[in-house]
Amino acid sequence: MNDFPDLVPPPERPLTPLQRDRLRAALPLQDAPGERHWFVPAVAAAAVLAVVGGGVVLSRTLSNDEPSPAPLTGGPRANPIPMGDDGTMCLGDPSRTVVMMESVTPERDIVMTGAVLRDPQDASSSGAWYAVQPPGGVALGGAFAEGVPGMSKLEKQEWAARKPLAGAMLEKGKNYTFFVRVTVAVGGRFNGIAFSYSDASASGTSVMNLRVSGRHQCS
Amino acid sequence: MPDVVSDAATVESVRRGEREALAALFEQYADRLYNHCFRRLGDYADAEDAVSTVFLTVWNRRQRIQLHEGSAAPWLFGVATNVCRNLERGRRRHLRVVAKAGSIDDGEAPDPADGVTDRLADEQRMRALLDQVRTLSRGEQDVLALVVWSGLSYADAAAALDIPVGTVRSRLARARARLSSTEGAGA
Repeated sequence: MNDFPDLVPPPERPLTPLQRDRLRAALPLQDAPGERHWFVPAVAAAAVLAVVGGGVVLSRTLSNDEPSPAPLTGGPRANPIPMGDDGTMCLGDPSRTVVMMESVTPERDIVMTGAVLRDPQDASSSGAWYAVQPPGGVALGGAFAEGVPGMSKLEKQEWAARKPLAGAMLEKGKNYTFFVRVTVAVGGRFNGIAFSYSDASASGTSVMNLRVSGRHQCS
Repeated sequence: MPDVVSDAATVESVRRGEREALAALFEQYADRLYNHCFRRLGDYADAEDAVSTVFLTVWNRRQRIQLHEGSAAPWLFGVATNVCRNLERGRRRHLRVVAKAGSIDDGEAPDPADGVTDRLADEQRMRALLDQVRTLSRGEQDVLALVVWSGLSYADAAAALDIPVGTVRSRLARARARLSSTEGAGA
């Protein structure tokens, strides 16, 4: 059927084998109820790890992080930067160094003081940054290899405009993306990333609850 | 056309959380969805992103997958339509970054099987078509893309967009009239 003769699109093309491999590798691998299993493919090294949390595709509703640990100082206050829910991720050869991303919208003005891996075993971080997202931007989360195909997903989160996380002053209601570069050895692991913050009355941490392990092969 | 029996069985397995079934659904529909998304976005890389997001959405919402006369295609195309819409919004600001920073995809390794020149020509042609249809309402564009470009039946397009079949017909008729008048005015 085409009664729109002036609107004939280019002929259909199948996915190339490389595209197909990338997409297959990005399919969510569900290991257990309630867990998202994210996978960085061995060949393409560029998993797409969009987080969809029951809202509009790619625009995540941020809610209900695990309760923040008791504030380090001052009285207890709600976590101002709630993060996504639990997940697991395997990093396979040759991409066991990736940039983890998390999108946040602070519920009050805060100053970020750092980001550390939780319970790291043969795992380390080598940088933590943030970038401001324009209003209405697309919230992405996950892990992406740097400098390889798939980089565009980092770029779309303003990766090029990133600044050091420590000392960052975040404003209530604005959208930000956090980036943390991590490396996990084969057999290594860590249990999420703790982002520490302070404000006028208290300090605390908010946790990105993603359990990450390193293996030669992740399938 | 997809085998409706296997679609029902596959979808049931996806709902039970069997990831192999998701992979089967991917193998069955990825190419069609990729081409549909390309025809909404005019960019093959964005179309690939969109397909990835569609299947993540399928998994996250697997209990809500709907079959239409035994086929998952309408529901999948409906999800793809929404995903492309969101990507398009995101891309508008991405393009602003490109304009400021020059080329930002320098790090992308070319895919040897890409046929880069042909793809670039296709993208240019598709974007020119998309410029033409931007005179239509969003709903008219959705119907045109599903029925005329992706070959869905009126009934399947109606299921994909969750609208009555009559609305599909009327939107197409309005699109035809509007494009004809634009053409006439431009002649």
